[in-house]
Amino acid sequence: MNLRSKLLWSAAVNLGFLNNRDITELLNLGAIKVFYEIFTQEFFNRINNIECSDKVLLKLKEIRRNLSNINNEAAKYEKIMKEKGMFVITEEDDDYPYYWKCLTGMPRLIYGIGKRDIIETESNGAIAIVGSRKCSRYSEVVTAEFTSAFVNSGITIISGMASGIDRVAHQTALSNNGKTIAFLAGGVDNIYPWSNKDIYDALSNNGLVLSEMPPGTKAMKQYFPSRNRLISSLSDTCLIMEAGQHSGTLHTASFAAAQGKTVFVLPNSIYCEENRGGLELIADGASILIDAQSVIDEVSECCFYKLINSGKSIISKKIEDEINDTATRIVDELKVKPRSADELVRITSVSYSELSIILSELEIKGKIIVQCGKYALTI
Amino acid sequence: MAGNNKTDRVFSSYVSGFEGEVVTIEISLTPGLPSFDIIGKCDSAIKESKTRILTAIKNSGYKIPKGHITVSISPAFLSKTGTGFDLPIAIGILRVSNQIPSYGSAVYACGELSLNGEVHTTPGSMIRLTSIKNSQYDAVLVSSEDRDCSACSHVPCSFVGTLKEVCDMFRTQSFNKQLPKLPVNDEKNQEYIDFSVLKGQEKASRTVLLAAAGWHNTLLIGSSGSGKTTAAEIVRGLLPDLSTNELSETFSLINALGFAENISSDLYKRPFRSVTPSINASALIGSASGLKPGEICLANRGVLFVDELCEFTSKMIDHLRIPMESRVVSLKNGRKSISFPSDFLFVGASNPCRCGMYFENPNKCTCSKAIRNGYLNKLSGPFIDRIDLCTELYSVNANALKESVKNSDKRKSIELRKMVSACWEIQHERYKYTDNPLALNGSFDSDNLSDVLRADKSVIEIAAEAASVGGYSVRSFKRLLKVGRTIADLDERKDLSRNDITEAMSYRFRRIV
Repeated sequence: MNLRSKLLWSAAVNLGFLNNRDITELLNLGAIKVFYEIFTQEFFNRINNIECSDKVLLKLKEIRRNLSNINNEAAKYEKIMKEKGMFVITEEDDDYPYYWKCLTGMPRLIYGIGKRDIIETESNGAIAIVGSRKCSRYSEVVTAEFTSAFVNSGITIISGMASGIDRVAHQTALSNNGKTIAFLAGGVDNIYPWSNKDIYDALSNNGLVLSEMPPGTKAMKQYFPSRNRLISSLSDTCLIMEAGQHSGTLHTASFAAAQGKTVFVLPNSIYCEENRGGLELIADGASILIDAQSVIDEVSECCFYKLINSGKSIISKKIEDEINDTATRIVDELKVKPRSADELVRITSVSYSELSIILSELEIKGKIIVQCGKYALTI
Repeated sequence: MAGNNKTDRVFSSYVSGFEGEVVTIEISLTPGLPSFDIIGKCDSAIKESKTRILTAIKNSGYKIPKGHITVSISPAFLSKTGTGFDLPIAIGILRVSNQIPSYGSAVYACGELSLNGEVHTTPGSMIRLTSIKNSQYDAVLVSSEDRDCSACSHVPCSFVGTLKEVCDMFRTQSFNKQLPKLPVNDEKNQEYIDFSVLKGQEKASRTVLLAAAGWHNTLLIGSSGSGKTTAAEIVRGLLPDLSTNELSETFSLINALGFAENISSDLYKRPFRSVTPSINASALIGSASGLKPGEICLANRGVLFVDELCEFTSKMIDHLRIPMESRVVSLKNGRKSISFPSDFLFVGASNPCRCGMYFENPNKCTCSKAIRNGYLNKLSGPFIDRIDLCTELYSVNANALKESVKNSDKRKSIELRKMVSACWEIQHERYKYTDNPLALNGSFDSDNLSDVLRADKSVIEIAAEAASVGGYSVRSFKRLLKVGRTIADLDERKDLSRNDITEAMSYRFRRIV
């Protein structure tokens, strides 16, 4: 069964029998097609014929020896998953995030609870909003204000479900009926901190909670940095609302920078010790968070490229319903590259006066914009 | 001695700014040593007229009366200028000395005398005649060169060639009043640039058609060689020729400046004034001190083509703002303020950036981002508000040309001219009973536009939505409706529809991002 072999893989990794690099090696050799294939009987039979490094071969043999152990562990996961209504998303799935395909070191398998479709952020964009657990009233107010502005533009809010800023971000997003995702350091069934149980309950109904750790894993100190890398990786930009000098939030910022995302930092008073780290980020060249619109602009630009590169066509489907064939053709053409009105007239053989009506309708709906004299898709 | 005093009175007029001022010229002859004075705030051209008048009288076979000749031109407090007072003063001198009989009580005369007694016209005779249109004169004497002015202003005149003829008229008491007819416009002989040169530039073609059909301010953006100047000339070619009313207005202006004395068939063509960045403000707008109209007045009822718009200083561009809306230029000199009509069709042309290549191929553009942003940003928001139609132009490559020939719907310039004329008639019919009967969609303004333009609630709603997406001002919003109206007029539809507005929206100017 597919789910079981996926969970077996997860258990093997969790028990330390295997790591990501070994799988990459096997995938590159062509020995396996998908990562969870190693748990088939057929694979164990041909282990000796694979020309992999001795180290990996040793590990595989170890796995074969401990298969019952791993099986027990996987069964444990499956039980919890059934109880809590959890699901897994793997790199083979259609909704596996585009950004994760572009980055290395991203989890091949992730556990989730809540609304699975929220993970699709290619069309609407996502913003990571993170900050200290002990935050000032100022950053709390700003977080709430900005979050509602983003959510009202349809952008997904990503955070870590910690107290303080994270809590405000999730809460505001949920109360505005927006999409929001929380990444937990432990398993998704493990509510941490317990004081945020109300948020967790709301998220597991109307939002999405994700974690790369298998169910039943306790949140440990060393898991937090790797959780932070996931927060920044799924988002288009990263907003640091407040960060102390040695705050974990700074990890998120440096991951975001390494992943090529724009980092916005909310400026605060120099006397505010709690925001020392944030100010230092600004000194290092982070963008300053002044208004919501500039962030939204940044996100829509990211979305534009994401959509073009990932080749998905969520938008055009919607337009097809709304307007006519010519509109669909125009959108298809614009997916290739921005085009001038005259070029579109030539391509569609529709007169300009008719074409302009469709173009303006698309523009009013916010689907296309005019950039350097040419029409382009907004997202 | 009192019995010997004689005075006479002749009416005349002079041009101040763009208006004629009627004056009364009194001539008095009193006994004494011969002297000749002209008073009444006259400039040196009038003072010089003494010699011309006296010589002309002598050369026409009459005598200079002995005694003090005093000429007073009133109202005395207005500064007067021009040489048109020669003829009335000469008539006055001849009458006051009883060399010719008087005729009626009110005689109007205007004209410059040459030394041998010929009567010539002076610049602005059209304006002067218009100013006496509603006054009753027993005789209106003007130079025979002024036939067209008389025809345009509908003032019947007696045309004279020499001072002698004038005297004969007085002697025989027959003044032979005439109202000449204007030369007929032979439209078929007018040559205009062919519309089909814009082939392959669909948006630009449609834009020029709309600009001509609705008198909309237009902005053409494209690299050099993409056909901006041609497009502007095509706009002029599509406009209907001047009506006789409009011809009087444009003729009086060029007549005032002394550019033309006669109306040729060419004058029925709408003016096309092209200005370049080297022009200075007074040449563009008009100078207050000389009360001289500028290019924007000469473009009245025609096209003002502003080439390389973004190379103008922003101050110069903003000078155009008010005339573009109010269609009048007001100049002030001291306490005096005069207005010139300037109902021009604005056609601006600009490169998209300094090097001009940004639209063609963004990679070839050598401008830095800052320079590029600064380039079109020279156009201020209020100025952009007044631009109804904006189109991009591209250099058409050979392949596209081939294709466009394939898809061509063979529109002919003549057909389009007819369409535009029909569209104008619809608009004249609509605005006939408003404050501005000559208005077209682009120049009309009213507080309840939606009623006049026949836009129902749903149309206003979509326009409002478009305005909020595009961030339009109230002015832009109104102009969006007006462009929509022109689109509907071209199709001869009564009510404004949603599609008219959405098409109109595609012509609004967008900042280059």
